[in-house]
Formats: sequence, structure tokens, C-alpha cells
Amino acid sequence: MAEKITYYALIDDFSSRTEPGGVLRRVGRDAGNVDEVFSRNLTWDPSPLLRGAERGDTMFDFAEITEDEANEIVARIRAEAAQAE
Amino acid sequence: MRIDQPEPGDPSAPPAPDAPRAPGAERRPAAERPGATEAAAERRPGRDTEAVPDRPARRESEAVPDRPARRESEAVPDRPAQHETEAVPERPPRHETEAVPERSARRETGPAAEAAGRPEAREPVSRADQIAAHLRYRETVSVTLQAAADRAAWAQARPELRAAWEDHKERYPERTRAVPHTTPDGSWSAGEHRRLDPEQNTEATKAHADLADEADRHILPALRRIEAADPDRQLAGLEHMVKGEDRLKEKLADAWSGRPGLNVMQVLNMIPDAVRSTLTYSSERYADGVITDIGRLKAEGFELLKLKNLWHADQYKGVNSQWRRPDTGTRFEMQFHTPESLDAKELTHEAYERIRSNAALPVDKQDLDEERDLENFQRHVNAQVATPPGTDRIKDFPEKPNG
Repeated sequence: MAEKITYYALIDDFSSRTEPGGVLRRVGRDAGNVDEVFSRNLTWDPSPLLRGAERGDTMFDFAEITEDEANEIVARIRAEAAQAE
Repeated sequence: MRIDQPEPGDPSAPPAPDAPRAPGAERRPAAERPGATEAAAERRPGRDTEAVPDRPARRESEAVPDRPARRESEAVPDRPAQHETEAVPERPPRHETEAVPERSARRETGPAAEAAGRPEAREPVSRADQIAAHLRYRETVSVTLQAAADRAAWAQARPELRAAWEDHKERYPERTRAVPHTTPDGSWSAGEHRRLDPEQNTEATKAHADLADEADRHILPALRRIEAADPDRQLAGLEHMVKGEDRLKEKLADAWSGRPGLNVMQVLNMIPDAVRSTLTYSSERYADGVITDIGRLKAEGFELLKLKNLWHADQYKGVNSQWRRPDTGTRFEMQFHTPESLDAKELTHEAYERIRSNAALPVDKQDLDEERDLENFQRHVNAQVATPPGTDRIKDFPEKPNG
């Protein structure tokens, strides 16, 4: 079965729904879900952040977004990282 | 609040709905009273004859002042919850109508009342007010009975839930977890993806000590004052009020990883639950209690940053809120629970720790079978937790744009 990927914008004090601070994806597989965040290493790394939110953690808000929106956030993070170097 | 029954012969005693009216008191046929019988029928179909004023004369004897004194304790809606639930179910239903949740709604007027020297007793009380008071009382009884049933259901389910968790642990023995540690160069790590460099580790260590100190000297005393304002609920979880140092660093590393563009102190300062406490309320008093205590926290000078009503969630039940001390910017978390939702949280805590640990592992090392089982366990436990009445009045903050 094909993987189903759902993307989420990560929002906090320093970001907003229109300019999220990060992006997380939930990859649905036959066996279960794997969550990955686009990390400061500029790679998709495993992350427990969304699980925490489902358990009541209030640090970040997560809003479901489209793949295109997720790609835009990734591109922005990459550009900002390149600029900072 | 205790409502005393009148002494036999007390002229100020509230009359039965059919008792003779004092001069000037309104008396209209039931059919002319808008909504009277309809409202009663809506509350309890088929029992409206008990609620409407024109019930048969035989009921008078049930409501007159010289009924046995033992009925006093049965008719008090505001006494402590555990007593209500013990007493109310034993009462024959007909006695519900005898109880007076708000005396003011049934005060009588007339010379006798004046003689009693109570100026407020001269105020006329409309039939609509009497009926409204009666309906409020019925609502109180209904909520109390439901809460007792919910508590009993949870108590009955708990052993099975506990056994289910033991069964899970047998099927999935705990795997070796990455042990958090500080290396000789001063950096910190816990597994492959959780790392802090020496400078970050030093900042996190100092922040943890500062948080513990602030919790002890400022936050806890304020919470104690709030707790003392109402004996009907209490603080819980104080033994874990400050998150462990390594757990704080794990959370910092996870959040910092997913938050490019911020430095470690910015992320550290956003962690809401390094200091955490819980207030628990009986189901009957939950919604009003939470709303009142949010006001008390504000009155203590704390700033509400975020509030999430999670009673609709499937893996966790309760209300979690994030607060800040304006003086220092320090955040802390307040959770609002019923005893049952807190018990469910504690019962699933180990499951959540396993989920969190598993989710932080490299993808090829994650055990997705166990993770699915753990989530199902959390859902199963929380499905047994009854939602208290009125939780829809506890609004998220900031409120979502779509409400």
C-alpha cells in the first residue's frame, strides 16, 4: 500500500499560520505512523513533537497543510540556513 | 451551603405549590403560565405533575414544614459531593420536589413573614421563579446522579485497564532506552538525534536550577493561596512539579531540532511545562471550578498564554494551560482534571513515555506495532473517562478563528 503523508505547519510564539516556524510530516504506513520534522540539519528527522501535542502538550500548535505549503516552508528554511552561513 | 428546613410551625416556611396563597400572591391556572408545564415535561417526561404548582392536594403533606427532620440532610444540594451521591440515590423520587435549592425562590409573603422580621421575606415570588428554582434543583440532582454513576463506572473499569497495561508490558518488554549523559567535553546527548553542545548544555542546566528555585519561591506559594480559596478541590502532582533535568534537556533537544531559526534559549524559554501543577475537581464542580481558578490565577498576576480544552481528544482528557510570570517571563503549566481524568493520565503515562521514546528513534528502529498498540491503549483508557458537564464553557485561548 502506498504511504500516505500528511503535513503539518509548526506554529509558536515566533511564528504564525501564515509564516510557520517549521514543518512536520506524518507518514502513514501499513505498520503504523512515523513522524518526521524538517530539522535544523536540513533533513527529515524522527520527532515526538506531534505525539506530544496529541497528549496535551501546548508548546507548539500544529495545523494541517498541503504538500505545496510544506515544500514552501522547507524551501524557506533552506534559504535562511544558506543565508546564515 | 446548607439549607435548613423550617421548624414545625415556622410561619416563614416555604409553602407547597398548592398551599394556600398569601394575600396578593399570584395565582393563575397552569395553562396560563407560559412554559411552566412544558418546561417541566421537557426535563422529566411523565413526571410533570410533580413539578407544576397544581399537583394534587396529597402532595401538600410532603412539603409542609412539619415533615420529619431526617429529610433535611437529603434535601441539601450544595453539600460536599460525596455526601450528595451517597444520599440522593436512596431517596424516593417524589422527595426531589421537596428539596429547595434556593430558598429565596420559595419565600412567602404576608403578615407572618413580616412578623418573622425578615425584610426580604416580603418580596413576592412569582410562580415562574418557583418553577425555575425547582428545575434548577432537578438539574442538580441529575448532575449528581450522573457523576456518581460515572465515578462508579471508572472504578469498575480501572482493574481491567490496569490488567491491559500489564498485558501490554508482557507482550512488549521495554526496550533499552538511550541513557541521557554528559560527555567529558560538556555536551549532552540522549540517543542519536537528541544532542546539546557544551554551551547549550550549560545554559539548560542553569535554566533548570533557576526554574526549580522560582517554582519553589514564587509559583508554588501562589498556587497554595489559590488552593486555599476553595476546599472542594486540591493541587496534585506537586512531587513532580519541576521536570527532571534530563527530561527537560530531551524536550529542549526535540523542540530545538524542529525549530530552525531560533537559538536554544529562545526555545528553552518557550517550554511551557518545565514547571507544572494540577488542580482536580469533582465532576459536578469541574467547569465552574476551572473557570473560577483561571480568574484566580490571573488575580495572582499570572498571564494566560494558552489554554487547550482537550475533553474532545481521544488520547488525553482534561484542560491544559500555559501561564507566565510577567516579572521573569517564566512559564508554567496548569492542568485541570477530574480525579478520573488524572487517574487516566497517570495510568497511561508509561505508555506515553514509550511512544515518545519510540518516536525519537531512527525510523528503521521504531517499533510501529507496539506504537499502534500503545495509542490504542491510551484511547481505550480515555474512552472510559466521562466528560464533566459544562466543559464546552471552557474556551480555548487564544480562541480558534472558527470558534
